[in-house]
Amino acid sequence: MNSSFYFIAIPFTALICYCILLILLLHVEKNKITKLYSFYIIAMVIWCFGSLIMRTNLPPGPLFWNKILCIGLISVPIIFYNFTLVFTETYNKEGYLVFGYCSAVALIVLNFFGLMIKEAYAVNNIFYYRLGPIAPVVALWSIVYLLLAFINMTNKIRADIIPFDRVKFVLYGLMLVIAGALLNLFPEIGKYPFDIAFNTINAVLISYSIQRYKFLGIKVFITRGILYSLYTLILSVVYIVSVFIVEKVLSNIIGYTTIVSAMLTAIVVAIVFQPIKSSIQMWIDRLFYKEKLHQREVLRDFTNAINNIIDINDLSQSLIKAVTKGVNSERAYLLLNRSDTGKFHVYVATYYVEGVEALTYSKNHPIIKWLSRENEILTMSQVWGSAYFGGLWETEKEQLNKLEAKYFMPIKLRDKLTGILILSDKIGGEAYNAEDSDLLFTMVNSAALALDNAQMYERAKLEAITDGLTRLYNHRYFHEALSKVISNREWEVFSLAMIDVDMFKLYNDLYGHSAGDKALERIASVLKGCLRRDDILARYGGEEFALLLPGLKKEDSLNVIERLRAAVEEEFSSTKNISEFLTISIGIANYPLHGKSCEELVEYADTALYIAKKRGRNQCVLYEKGNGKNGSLKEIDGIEKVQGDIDAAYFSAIYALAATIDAKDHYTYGHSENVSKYGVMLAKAAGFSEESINIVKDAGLLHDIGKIGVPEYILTKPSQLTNGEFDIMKKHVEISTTIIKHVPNLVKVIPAIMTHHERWDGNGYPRGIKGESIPLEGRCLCIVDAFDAMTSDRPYRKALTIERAIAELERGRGIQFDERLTNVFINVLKESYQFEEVAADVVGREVKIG
Amino acid sequence: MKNLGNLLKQEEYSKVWEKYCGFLNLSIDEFMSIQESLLMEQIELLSSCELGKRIMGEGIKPKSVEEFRKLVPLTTYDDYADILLNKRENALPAKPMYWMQTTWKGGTHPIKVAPYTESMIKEHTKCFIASLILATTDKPEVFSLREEDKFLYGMAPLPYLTGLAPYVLKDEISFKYLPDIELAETLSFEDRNIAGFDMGLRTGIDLFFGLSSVLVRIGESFAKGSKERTGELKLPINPRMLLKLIKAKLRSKITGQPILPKHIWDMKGIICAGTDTHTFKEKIEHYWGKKPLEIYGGTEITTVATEAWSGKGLTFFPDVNFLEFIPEKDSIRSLKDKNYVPPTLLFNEIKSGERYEIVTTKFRGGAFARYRVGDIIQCLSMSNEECGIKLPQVAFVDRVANVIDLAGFTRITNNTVSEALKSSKLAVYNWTAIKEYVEENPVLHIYIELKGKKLSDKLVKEKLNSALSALDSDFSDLQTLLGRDPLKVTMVEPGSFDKCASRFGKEINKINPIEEEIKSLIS
Repeated sequence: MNSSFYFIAIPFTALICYCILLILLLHVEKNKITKLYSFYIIAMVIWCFGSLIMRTNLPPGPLFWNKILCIGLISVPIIFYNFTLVFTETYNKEGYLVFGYCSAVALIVLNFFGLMIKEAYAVNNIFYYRLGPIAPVVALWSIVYLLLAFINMTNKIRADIIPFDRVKFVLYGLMLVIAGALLNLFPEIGKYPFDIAFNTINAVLISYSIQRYKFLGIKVFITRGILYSLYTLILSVVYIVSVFIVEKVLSNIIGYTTIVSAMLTAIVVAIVFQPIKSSIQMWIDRLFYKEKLHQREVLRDFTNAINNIIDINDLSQSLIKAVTKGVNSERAYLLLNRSDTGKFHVYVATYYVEGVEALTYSKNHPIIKWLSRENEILTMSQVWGSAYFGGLWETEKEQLNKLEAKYFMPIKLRDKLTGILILSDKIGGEAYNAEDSDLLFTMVNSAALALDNAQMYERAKLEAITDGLTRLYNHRYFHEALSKVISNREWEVFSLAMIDVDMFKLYNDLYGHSAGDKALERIASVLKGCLRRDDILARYGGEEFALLLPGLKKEDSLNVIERLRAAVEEEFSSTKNISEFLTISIGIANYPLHGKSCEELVEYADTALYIAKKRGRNQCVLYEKGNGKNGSLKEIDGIEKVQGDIDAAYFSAIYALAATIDAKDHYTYGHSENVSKYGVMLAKAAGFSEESINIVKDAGLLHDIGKIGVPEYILTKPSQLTNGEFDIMKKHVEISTTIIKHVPNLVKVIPAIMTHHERWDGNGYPRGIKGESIPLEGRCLCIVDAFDAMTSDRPYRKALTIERAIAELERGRGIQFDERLTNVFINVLKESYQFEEVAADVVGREVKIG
Repeated sequence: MKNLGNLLKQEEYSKVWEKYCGFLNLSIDEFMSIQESLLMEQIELLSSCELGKRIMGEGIKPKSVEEFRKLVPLTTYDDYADILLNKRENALPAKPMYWMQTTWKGGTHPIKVAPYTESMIKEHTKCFIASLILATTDKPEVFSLREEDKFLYGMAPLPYLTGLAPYVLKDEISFKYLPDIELAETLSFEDRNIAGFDMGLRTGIDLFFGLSSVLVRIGESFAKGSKERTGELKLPINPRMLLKLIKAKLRSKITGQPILPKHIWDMKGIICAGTDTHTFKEKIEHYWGKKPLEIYGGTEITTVATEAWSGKGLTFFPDVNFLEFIPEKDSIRSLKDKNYVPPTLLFNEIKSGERYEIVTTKFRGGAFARYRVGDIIQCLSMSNEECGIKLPQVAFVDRVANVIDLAGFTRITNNTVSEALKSSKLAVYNWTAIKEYVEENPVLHIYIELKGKKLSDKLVKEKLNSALSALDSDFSDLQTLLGRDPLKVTMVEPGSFDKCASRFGKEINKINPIEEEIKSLIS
């Protein structure tokens, strides 16, 4: 083997390299950039092909093949220049471009007339030639265009339009090509294929750039197979060179002996070849797989880590750190599906952007729908460029721009989207490649199950500290948080508010526990809506809430709390809906002003709450030193007295109103008073508590107050009411409640009034409740109201006798009326001595007992 | 994101198609989902501004499409007039970038204005580009639109909406306008078209956007006066045009047929707007060798729909307006009974073959909500199989029954005719006007019953024509620009209107009465 062989081998190697590049380029997505780059590679192929064949003396001869070579050589600068213009999106150099192509054609034509290479021949694969007159012009022209291309790229790098990393090896390769072309100007050097050797290196550098830096934005470009081919190629070259050197050295030292030479060559190659092979492999690995090795390490560490993490925050942090480390992302955001809202929220981010916490996507959001449907990465250019995402709001677009989001990666578990990883560009602006994508998918797939487990654990943890009904924190968590705030001295000053729903027991009695629960949920929701970021609100127990207000002094806290109270009042009491009479009372204590321990603060806030209740409810009271449930009895007495005076004024007004109703309907004059007295009689006989007796008494007086809202012609109609009229009449119950609910101390009579037309069998009104669901006082009123109505004259009938009335009561027993109470009432009536007395006193009518 | 020019330079045609024409691939559910999302955004914007509070009601913020349709009333320009005509920007949902203007025939002011926000402009540009692409294609993803195409832009300049495109397109793509936009601004509508076609003779024309009637008029003038016309032809400055002109002349000499525009120009795309485009399509194809692409839009609603390459119906853009449709019978009933609130249907509820009045809510911070544009469309089919479009295809039918639109030039209302009759000093007892087509050209046909002495049709027409021309410059332009008589007058016998009224039990409609009523008048 002599040296001439290598002058063939080099262009041959270069030709193979460029052909492989060309084949791969032909298989990638076509756009103008890839097309132009393909033309550039074709020009290189022609160059290498010419260089190879012209050294072999194949007909029609070296000069002809050199002319072919020159087509490639002349085409390379102008095509590459054109490529850089498109690649760098430079569109104002059309003049240079047109001139370049025209002059290239002219130079190629002139070369065919022998003006560039006058004479050429090959001896032992060495190419000898004589330059023609335009050779320097061609050289100068080529260098000018390659320099223009070079300058264009460097300008864009300086302007930060193209990342240097992405094109640096292409630029280095370009410098080699320029150098190689220049060497051809010196025939003594040019006869050796230095230009082609440099071109080969250029091809390797281009491949490396494409693979490592995704130079053309092409997806998977150099496959493993190609890398191994390259490896084999390099190994072969090294092997051939080694054998050649050993053979030369041996033949020079010991003379030429085939067997000895072969043996020694084998020994030397065996000794040196293995380390060389390892070095080459290591070099290729480092060159092409450096990133991959790094990624493997990151993946291994991450996989180890997630097996030991159960906390969702730690896991999310771990994932996002591994991702940014593994693929070198500048920014990353992890969005997880929150079970409480059903939306995807930003959970962790490597870079804080203002408003990032507001980024939420519902399950109907186009990005979520797309990611749920597809199993691939969604790019921002797809989002901007596809009609499918036309429903994005302007604010969402701005948000994504602010985040510098470029890629959305789905995190799925059993085909269900559980999270999204949003990535920005890589540091340095490189594009993500297939390996990055593989790594990301491996990571998120490994993380999906762990994230799901962690979320479940998180939910369980949250459930343990959450009240099931209101979804607020529970009593236990509140005490823990309060203790922590105090022990860690997290805030120099804060306020504690104890909140109690007024008349809640009554509400429950009236509307049932289910309605009560709903009311509590609503109150919780209203309170939540008024909270500041650091406030902690908990359901303390029953209808009581506790609120921690960090950083608020006593006066400020009173203002803030007053807003809460007003919000609840606005939500409930200000409506026309009779069932919405709920308000809250609030007691406030301040740290450290009033106390420095949990117990003290809770006690003082409770005391203030007690005072608020005593002052008439629906108000906020700030604890004052010296106050106490016992210590302030004097004050409370005073309050109660004032409140009593206010209530008395209200009672008078309302009783006057009740009297007005009776006066309005002269047939039922005195009816309210009668119902009240009969009611008290029955309540006492039935063994009602003192409080219930009082309720029956007041409710009896006020039970028809709502008739103020019923037209007089219906109230006094001499004939039977029509269905429509009866419907209007029925409304008096609700109107009564609407009037009374605004008088705090009368609210307790509402259940009795609300239910005095309900029937034991459930066929009454307004709600149709039955049996013992009807409050006791209501059942009582129902009986005595009916009795008084039966025994009084009505426009459409005369009064029934007592006997008839009792018979009617007996008939309705267990159907319309509570059986037990009816029996008690009939017995009471039948006790004549009492009855006569009552009749004379109450009814003032002629009474006959059978 | 790269703009159109860059995408074209880099030959990324599939990306161009997806970005601008991708809406043609949407399913009806995807379309509705975009509509809903953008409506919610618009409600958000409206609820925080004075105009929105006025239209939707104080404190009302619908949470769903259903609530929006239930709570927000249908509106007309009168509901917006005081805020918009005074250009009270602080009362609007978003800051406008441009104010577009149009005439308000039959309104309380001579003009209407509409605010255009930055994102509306972007959307409008995108829609217009989609139409340009679709005008230059005959199959999906293959189109011939390129940078530096020669664009004859024959529409009214700013502040009319039609004049907006050249300015907003600058950020997306560069065209060679014939004539240059700055020069065009200084020319009248007629001069601009003449200058454009003269330049087109020298350099060639790739794209045309204008009124279909103008294209027909030019085609007709070529066909009628071939000898004179070709004598006037300017010498082309590029060899390709020179060759085409020589070929056209030779062809004309040999065949004895006149030179038609299609023999000189090889247009890539023609976009036409205007109410009567559908009647001119065949003529345009005959004269120009290219079927025009019809787009539908308006000042208050921007570009709303476009045809695809099959020319078998318009497809609505999903992200421009929230679309509702009033069935035609309800629309007519509501015109007669002002207290009647007509029901609306959504885009996925309309049916093939039915006609509807269109109601729009502008997205992207626009001013109009549940706005009755005054246009009638017809649903042609529920999809377009030829183009693979799975969305309902519609055709623009006309203005609502009480307006007569003539070739996109002018809109005639009850008020216009009444005023014209008044100023003509004719002793008119009763009249009615209807839009008719004579040789596929739209005309205004007025039936008149005079009081007292009888006058000839010709005299009455002359008087009325002068009065209409003096009153409505657009009507006058229609005659001078298109060289066509758009007015027809028929005198009816005394007592005809009363007879008709007693027969049908009601007064005949002043504008667009039904065919039977017209028959009864002239019988």
